[in-house]
Amino acid sequence: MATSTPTVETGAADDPHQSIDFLPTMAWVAAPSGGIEFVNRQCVLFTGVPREQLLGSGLGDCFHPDDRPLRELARARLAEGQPFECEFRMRRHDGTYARCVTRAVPVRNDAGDIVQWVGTTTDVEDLRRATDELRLQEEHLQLALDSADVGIWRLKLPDYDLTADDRTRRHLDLDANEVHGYRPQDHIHPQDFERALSLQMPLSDGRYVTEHRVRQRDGSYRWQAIHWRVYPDAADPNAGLITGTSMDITARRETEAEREELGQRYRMALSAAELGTWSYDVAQNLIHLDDRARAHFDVNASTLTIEHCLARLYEQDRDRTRQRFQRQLQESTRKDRATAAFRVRHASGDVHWISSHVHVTFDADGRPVRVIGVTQDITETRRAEEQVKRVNADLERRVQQRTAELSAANQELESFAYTVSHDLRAPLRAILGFCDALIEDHGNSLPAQAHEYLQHVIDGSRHLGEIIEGLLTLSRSTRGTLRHDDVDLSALAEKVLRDMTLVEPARRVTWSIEPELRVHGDSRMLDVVMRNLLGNAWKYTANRADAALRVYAQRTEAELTVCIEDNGAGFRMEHAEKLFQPFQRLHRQDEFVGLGIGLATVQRIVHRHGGKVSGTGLPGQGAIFRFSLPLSNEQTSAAEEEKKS
Amino acid sequence: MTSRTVLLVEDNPHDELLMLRALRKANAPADIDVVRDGQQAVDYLFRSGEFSDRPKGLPALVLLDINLPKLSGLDVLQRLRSEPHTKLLPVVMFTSSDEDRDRLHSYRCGANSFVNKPLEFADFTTWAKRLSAYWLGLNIAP
Repeated sequence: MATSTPTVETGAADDPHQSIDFLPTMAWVAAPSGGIEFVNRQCVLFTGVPREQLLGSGLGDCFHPDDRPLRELARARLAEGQPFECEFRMRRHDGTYARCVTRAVPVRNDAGDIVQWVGTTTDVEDLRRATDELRLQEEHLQLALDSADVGIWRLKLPDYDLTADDRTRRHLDLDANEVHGYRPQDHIHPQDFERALSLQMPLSDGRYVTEHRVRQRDGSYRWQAIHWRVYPDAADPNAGLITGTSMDITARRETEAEREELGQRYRMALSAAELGTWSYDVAQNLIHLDDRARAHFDVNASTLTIEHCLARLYEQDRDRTRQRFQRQLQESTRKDRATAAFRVRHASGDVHWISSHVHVTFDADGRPVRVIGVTQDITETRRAEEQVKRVNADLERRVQQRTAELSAANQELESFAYTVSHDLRAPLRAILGFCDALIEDHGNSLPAQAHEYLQHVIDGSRHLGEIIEGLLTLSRSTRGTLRHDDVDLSALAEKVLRDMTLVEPARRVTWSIEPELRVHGDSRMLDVVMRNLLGNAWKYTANRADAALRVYAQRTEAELTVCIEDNGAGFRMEHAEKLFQPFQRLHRQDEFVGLGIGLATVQRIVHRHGGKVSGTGLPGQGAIFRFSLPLSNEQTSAAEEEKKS
Repeated sequence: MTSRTVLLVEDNPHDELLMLRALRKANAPADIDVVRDGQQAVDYLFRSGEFSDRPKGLPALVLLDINLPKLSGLDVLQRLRSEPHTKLLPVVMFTSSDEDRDRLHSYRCGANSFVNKPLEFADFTTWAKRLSAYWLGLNIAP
């Protein structure tokens, strides 16, 4: 302190207190009552109060006003006759206060009575300040270590005696805070060894830092950031001290690894999809393109202005794309993502279709800050799309053409059938009509043989009429829309058989019909089916006295198979394939009359209903004809219910 | 005065002959006029073309075949139903085809009756008897 120090005259040589007068600390002597009898030079120098003035109780006047109570405490101690120590603030000669420690000891005579007190008062202000500062620094350090979860340690070589705080103990997964013979290199992941090599001897002065994995007791590894400083031993090259910190950075490392992987994936995705990326800084009005985006726009520079970039576009697409982009920058609230496609003419002369996805980032006020985008060359996709469109259109055209052809063919077939029915009947009517007229008007004058011949003409013509009728039924069964009626085949079979009984009352035929054979189909067509099949059964049992017919069904989940069984003439199975061909007959006309058109009609009708038809027979034993019809969903579920129960 | 004329429109000469014979056998109380295609039928009924000098008056009944040259029976029927004075003329359609669509078309176009041409002459005679009994006897023309 650069303050003026008052001068003090030196005490007399014979002064008994001379020995303490020059002490560098304040010293004083007091009577047993506490009255100051002597103060040394330092007291005067410190307080700036003349020695005479300090005698008596003068020193006490220099106490800081707030510390006055301490004076009373000192007095009380004095009265007790016990040595004491106390700290209080004292006014310096310059008016400032300093913390001072006062120690006082009683001096006793042989009788044990206190004859005087000797005391010192030491200015500890600088010391206290330094201590406070140190404490503060320590607190700061502790706070820093706490907040960063940093541990501290020191390692003494050559014996590798490690001393660690609790954090380092946790980081390095140590048994205790003090470990003898802890060789860090034995705990470092082999792959990280190189990095941590500088830990090895010989030690060189300096600071080091590495990040490496440290093996835990369970064999796993955790990432640590280790900082350390080496203090080599000048005398022994193998000895020294290393102090350092540890910090667990596993979480950070994992995050970094994840980020790295994400980046890798992102780059892979871009590369696999051949995507280019770009970003646009709105304030700078500059676009930064990566290599692929540059290739897409066919530019060399990786940074260019929007206009420069737009200039690369096909002229017809330029204004549209520019407007689109500008609009995107304004539409902060609506949507921040958009896609645009445009053409770029490359230097090679090729025109490429490029599509760009755009994402705009806006600031808090809704102003666009940054735009990022990806670009993709969609030329091939476009080409393929056009190809697909062309192929589709072509296919559509061909389908239409085929449909038209088909419907024309159907139309033709229909008009053919119509023509057949009309035009073939007309001459037949003439033949039959005039035969009748001839017999009616001139029958009497005709010889018997003429009548016989006429009858042949009539029979032949009638047969022809039946064939025409059959052909018409056959053609009708494949034309027209299929109706969807609920048909009770049991009731239908009953009716058909009754009709036949009426026509041929002499026949003795028994039959059994399974009730409730309900199907979905065209009632008129199913009527034709049942009439044909039952008609056949009726016809081919004509030679049996015990003719018996049976109508029953076999069910699966998806279909109902109706069986019509008779015990009639039957047929040879090797001829079974002929059964359903038109005009194919397995019996002569003199055996059983027929056209050979009924089963062909049945087959067509059943096929139109999505079913199958088949026949099995044994000559002389009978035949079974089956036709299946798909069940509607409703019927299917009903059949399932039945099965369960 | 009630007309006693039946107009038969039939292009097939055999059918014509058979029908005339059948009507004769049935003792149909009428004169039969025959025309052989649709155009002739229209001309006859509207007194145009070759029939422009035909005396006024409509037949009591028209027997109209569906399949006719030039104008079909249905075309003729439509013409008749579109003119006020032939709108209510009794028309019986007949054909040898038993197609549903012919029958439905005929009724939609306003036919009074629809019959199939029978294949056998015996049926033809019965047919003609019934036809004349109903349309020329029982039925009261509008």
